[in-house]
Amino acid sequence: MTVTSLTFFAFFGLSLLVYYLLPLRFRWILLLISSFVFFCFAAASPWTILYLLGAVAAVWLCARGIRSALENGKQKQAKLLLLLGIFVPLGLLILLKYLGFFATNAAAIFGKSVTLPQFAAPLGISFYSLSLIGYLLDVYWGQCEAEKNPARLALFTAWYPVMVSGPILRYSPMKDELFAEHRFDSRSFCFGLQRMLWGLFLKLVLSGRLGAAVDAIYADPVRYAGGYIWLAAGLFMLQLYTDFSGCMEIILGASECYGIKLPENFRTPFFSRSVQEYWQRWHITLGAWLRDYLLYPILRSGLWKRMTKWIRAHLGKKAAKRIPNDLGMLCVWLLIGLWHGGDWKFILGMGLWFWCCIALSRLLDAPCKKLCAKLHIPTDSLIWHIVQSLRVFVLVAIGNMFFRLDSLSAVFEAFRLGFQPAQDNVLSGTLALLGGPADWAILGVGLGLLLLVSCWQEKGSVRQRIARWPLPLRWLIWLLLIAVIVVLGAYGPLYNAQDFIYERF
Amino acid sequence: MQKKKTKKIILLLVFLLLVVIVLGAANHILGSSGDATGRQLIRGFYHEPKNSVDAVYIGGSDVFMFFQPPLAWCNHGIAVWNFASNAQPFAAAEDLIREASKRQPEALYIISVASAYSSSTEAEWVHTLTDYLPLSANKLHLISTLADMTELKGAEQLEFYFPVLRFHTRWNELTEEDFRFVSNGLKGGIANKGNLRTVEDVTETWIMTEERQEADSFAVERMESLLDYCDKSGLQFLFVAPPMTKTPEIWAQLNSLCDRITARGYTVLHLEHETDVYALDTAADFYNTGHVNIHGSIKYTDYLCRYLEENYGFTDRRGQADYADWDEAAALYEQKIHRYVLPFEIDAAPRTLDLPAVEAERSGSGLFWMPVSGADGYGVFLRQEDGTWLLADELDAYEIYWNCPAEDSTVIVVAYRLENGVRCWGCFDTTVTSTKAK
Repeated sequence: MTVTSLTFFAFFGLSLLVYYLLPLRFRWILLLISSFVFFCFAAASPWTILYLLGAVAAVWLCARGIRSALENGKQKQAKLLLLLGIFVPLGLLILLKYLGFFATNAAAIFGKSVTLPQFAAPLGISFYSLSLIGYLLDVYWGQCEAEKNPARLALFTAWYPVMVSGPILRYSPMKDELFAEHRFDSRSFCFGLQRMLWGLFLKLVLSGRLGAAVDAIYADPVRYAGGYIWLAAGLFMLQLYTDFSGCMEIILGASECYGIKLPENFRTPFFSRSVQEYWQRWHITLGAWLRDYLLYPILRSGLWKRMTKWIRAHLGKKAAKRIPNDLGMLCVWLLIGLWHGGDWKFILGMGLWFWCCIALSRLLDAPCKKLCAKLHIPTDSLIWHIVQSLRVFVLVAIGNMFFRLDSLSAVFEAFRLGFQPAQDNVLSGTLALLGGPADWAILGVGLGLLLLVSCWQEKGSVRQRIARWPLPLRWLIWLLLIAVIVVLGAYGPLYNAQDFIYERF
Repeated sequence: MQKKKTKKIILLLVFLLLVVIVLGAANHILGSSGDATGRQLIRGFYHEPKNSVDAVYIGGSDVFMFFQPPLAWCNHGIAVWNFASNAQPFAAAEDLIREASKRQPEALYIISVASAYSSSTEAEWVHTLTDYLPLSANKLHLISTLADMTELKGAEQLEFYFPVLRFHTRWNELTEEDFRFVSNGLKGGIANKGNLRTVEDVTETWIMTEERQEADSFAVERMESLLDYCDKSGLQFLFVAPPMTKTPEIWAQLNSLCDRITARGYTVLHLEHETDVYALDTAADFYNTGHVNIHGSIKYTDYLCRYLEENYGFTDRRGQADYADWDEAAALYEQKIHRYVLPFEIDAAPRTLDLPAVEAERSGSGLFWMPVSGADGYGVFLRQEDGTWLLADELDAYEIYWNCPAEDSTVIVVAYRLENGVRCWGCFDTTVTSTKAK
């Protein structure tokens, strides 16, 4: 049940109707039931809900135990319960998603062959595992209360829009949203629907078309060598963004229809001036989670403190400031790579590559600033901003080639072919054949619209801006968007519609 | 406060209405595969005046490839509408009769039993029928009946109610016909490359049986339901078993279903058993195993029309002012098929329609033509005063000139090929071989 399917919309509509018909205090129970029903329908196997329930039960018990241990001053016991609580969702995540990767690599090191049992990975396990671990750490650090009702914790974990592609939730802000008694608010409801509409436009009209072109090029990279390889890398960036952010818009919009606001996951990432800023605007909740629950604890750990001390003594103050920080970042980036999938291509491309980019840019930051001043480059100008954003686009596009292509060897082969002459010129008729001139025209207009909306987003809420426009104009926009999605959307049995790229993470 | 709420509700309803209009328009324009047969035969039915046709013929391609309404009109003055679509499931018949009888309540309903044995169909064949029907209770009931026969389940079946979900991909290939009905002027007559130019010998696969075998429960249930409806409807019905190549098992099931029809007092015209009577030639009159070519359909249409005249007292309507468009359709159809239809004298001879028509030109007192590739020789036919044709001369493949006996004679030159010692005639064209001085 993808969030663009008719089944999803039928389910969503029915659930929403019952939600607003129920008395306020029972509504969260309906959300819980809806989430379980959705999970059973959308998961590869409905039985995988047992993993989720098991993780919730373990985390609930451990959080209660931690709270009571902390209240009784039993710090050691609390720590033990914390480790146990983290072990369950993390263990399940590793067992179901990464066992193959670790076992295959271990077998290769020891020169042995290994046969592994096949597990059906539960829906949304990468998202809810991090949410549960975050909750446990918050309880341990005293940043939130341990939830008394396990059903409420289950709703926080399994809230169905989030199961598809995140975002990664935090308990403290979400409990206020999930368990508040939301009355029907027509404005919030309309905003939710409008957001879903925009998400459908991004996914069905833009991402589907971009995907067709990218697939065509990468399916035959020898023929489409040279400029085509880099064109595909750029188009894949746009595909990934329209796909993932489109999915987020649908998820956040659907949730908003219930009156529940979820954290934003994107903030116009292509306007970033550096790779670091890009990752603060892209998949925001993942970056923030890793910063708060991994990077900071690492930097505060005894080991790091001792390392900093040693570096300061032997390599100086500057190095002591930079090296431990960079090493901490390396841990985070390796984990980001691994989070994307159990494969070296993710660890290298989505982890190490971005760490190198960020570390290098920090290293070159001061000399670059000096050079700009010497050359009298106006670093505050729009042109310079565009140049910097283009640089980020290229760097991220290279990293994302590891994401898109099947293996490390395919990535390196694509890099090699990228510098070979193409069998056809990029501007020759072959390009038009990839999707047809009409499709490219739609893509051009659609991406232009996306750029316009992104510019508005930088200045404030687009929906509030549109809400101030005259009624006929507003209605015309929404009706036009509906018509465009219905007519030009890549859906239905005659389209080879692609699943969301971040689905089933 | 109350006033504000009412205003909001009204605005919401107006917006929803606009959304429905937008989606309805998209569904109307993009809601079909662009199937030419569906457009002409199903949508075209609703552009015929009410109570204007003598008979409505319901079924699949065994209807529109076999029975040619322009020929029925041209030779018998009977107006028959093929309310047919590609691979139409028999289960559709009941709802289609209900629907058609709203406009043509006095017509005879001819129902093909060719697919009566089948209990499944494909989504594509449901679309080629239902997408062209206007919205009505009958259409909705028909969709609910047929949808369960397809491979689509649950929400997937929504595409039958909202075909835009499937066919929106056609947005860049829209034509005028997607916005309004454009008649091809043939009243359902089919004249395409397949049925005009192709001959396939189906003698090997032509198997008939008198055996009986019970059809599956779904087929029996649909047949009984249709017969119950026939009993109650007060309309006239004729069931037809067309001459098609099917397996002995399927014929045995059809025989058994036909027994049910006759047991309920309805007539089944077994055209598959009477091929000798109307001289249907399995070697020359088919273009594939399931369908007759133009030569077969001329014989089929003529035979069925004669049966209708004899048994239902249909009168010749030719020349009636209200039927002028039928005259035009017959003339147009004649124009389309004449170069592929042989004169009576050689009609019974074997054909090889891949030999194109000879395009002869007057040259002095004779005719000259370009050699036809693959021809073993040429026959020259002279038109007699009574309109019949006489084989006047036979020429070898290298001979491409013929001296006319008279200045104003009308001649047809037809190429032939020898296949196993038998002469097979190719196509010809009566419009270019006159030796009359221009």
